[in-house]
Amino acid sequence: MDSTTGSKATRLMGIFVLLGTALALPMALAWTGRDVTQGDAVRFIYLHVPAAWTMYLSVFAVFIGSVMWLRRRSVFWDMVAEAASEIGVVFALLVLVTGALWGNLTWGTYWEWDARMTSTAVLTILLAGHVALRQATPDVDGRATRSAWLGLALLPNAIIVHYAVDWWRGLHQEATIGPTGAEIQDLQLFTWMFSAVIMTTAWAWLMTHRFRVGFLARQLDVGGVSTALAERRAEADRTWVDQVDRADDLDAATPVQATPVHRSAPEGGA
Amino acid sequence: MEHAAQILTGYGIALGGLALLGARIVQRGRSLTKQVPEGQRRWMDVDDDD
Amino acid sequence: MISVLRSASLVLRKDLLAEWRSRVVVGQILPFSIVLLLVFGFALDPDRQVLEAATPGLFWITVLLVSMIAAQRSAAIEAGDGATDGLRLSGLDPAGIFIGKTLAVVVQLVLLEVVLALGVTVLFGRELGGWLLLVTATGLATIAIAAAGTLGGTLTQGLAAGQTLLPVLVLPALVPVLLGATQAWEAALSGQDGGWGWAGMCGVVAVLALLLGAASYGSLLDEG
Repeated sequence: MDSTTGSKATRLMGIFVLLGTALALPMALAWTGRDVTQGDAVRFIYLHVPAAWTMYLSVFAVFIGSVMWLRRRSVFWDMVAEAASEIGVVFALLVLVTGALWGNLTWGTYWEWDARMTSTAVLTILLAGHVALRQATPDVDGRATRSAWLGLALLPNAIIVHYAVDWWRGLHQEATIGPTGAEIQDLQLFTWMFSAVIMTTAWAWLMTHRFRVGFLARQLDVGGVSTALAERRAEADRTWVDQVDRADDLDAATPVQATPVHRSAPEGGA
Repeated sequence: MEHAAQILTGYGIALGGLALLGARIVQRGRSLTKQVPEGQRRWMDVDDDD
Repeated sequence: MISVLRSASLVLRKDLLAEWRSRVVVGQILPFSIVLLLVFGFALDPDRQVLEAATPGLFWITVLLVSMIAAQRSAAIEAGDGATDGLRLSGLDPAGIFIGKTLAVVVQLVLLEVVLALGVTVLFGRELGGWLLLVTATGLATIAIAAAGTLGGTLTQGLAAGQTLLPVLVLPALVPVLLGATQAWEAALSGQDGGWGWAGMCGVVAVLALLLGAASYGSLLDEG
């Protein structure tokens, strides 16, 4: 049995991600052309957009996991939601960081109040809150239920915030991140799609490991309760045996009694 | 490449961050695996209390 | 099981009675909200120009911040005395309990908003107008804030870190309401178009928050 959370599947995924990244990096940074207006800054597209896609994938997984826990008390799906929100936070932060760096080169500032970045910022906080809520709830089932109801709110909230800010920004000048120029080159398109595949596989690798970690932690939590119960029972048995022994000693120390005292052994056991 | 410093920084943070996350998860998995008895480590090995 | 409406009215009455007896809203939260307005004044602009322009935003920031306190108090009414079990076993409809608690928070917030509206008129010099839009948008936004806050209070009830976690969970979710309410107020106060659309957005969030809260309250009460 493995002494890690790894398996044949994760090793295959891991190798694909490593090799794919080794290939994609020169494609993204050197072999693909520059953009007409943005120049080399457009190379962020191979990071930022796949990260955004995997972030939304995480949010969707949290949503499905939450629904399945609430409907069927499915431990499997609760573990999926737990893994997805933690990993989702990291990808959301990636989106913000790469977006800020890209924006600095194209807009001249690290932040613009456009719909996508603002809704991503809100989503990052909510995902982090989801993780924090789980960590703050000691009871295993309570943890699953509370975070599941929060998880339901994530997806609709992301959508509403996005449209609200879009509408709000419509009153001012619209700022967008994206490639400009007549058409996207063949190689650029291929690199963009290849990066998305690699990042999705990396997400799957992270999810698989994190799911197993969550499951192990849950086994310890639940197992911990069973162990504690067994210990308490053993302690109760010891206390009972002590009391009987003490009673025996008392009898032996007292003077001869008129009538013999019948004492039967305690019935039952553990 | 224009703006090479910023672009490479961005790529470095992204890839480094993901690698760090992966390492942390695997490390946590190793330490938890030691504490859970065999036969209970994988979801497939244990009855799902659905 | 007692009906939703009857449960709601019973809980509304209970929570308002608890508030009336403890006087926390009037005695503590109200002064705190006035202090916030003063603090904004000191921090931003003694000439009032910035304050006048930012009145809708500052008003709604103040409402949001005090609503977090009101929501925590609403959740704590039972949790403090361990009366949550009593609530669970009372036979009251959980959705009704949620609606009752939300309405109690709405009443408290409306009271605060009336005073705050007076406050911004006096302290920031912004004249209020466009009353129909103003009142409608305020009403819808307040319901949305109260519902989301009550739901957040239940999600974080009984947790050691609950008090700090509540704002982190609820405030980001209320961003659309903040946007909607401030834009609707700005439209009402300056006579511009588009305010009703923003008020509508607050209404949409209010409905969603009420539905989510009503659906979840039963199972969250059980977990508590």
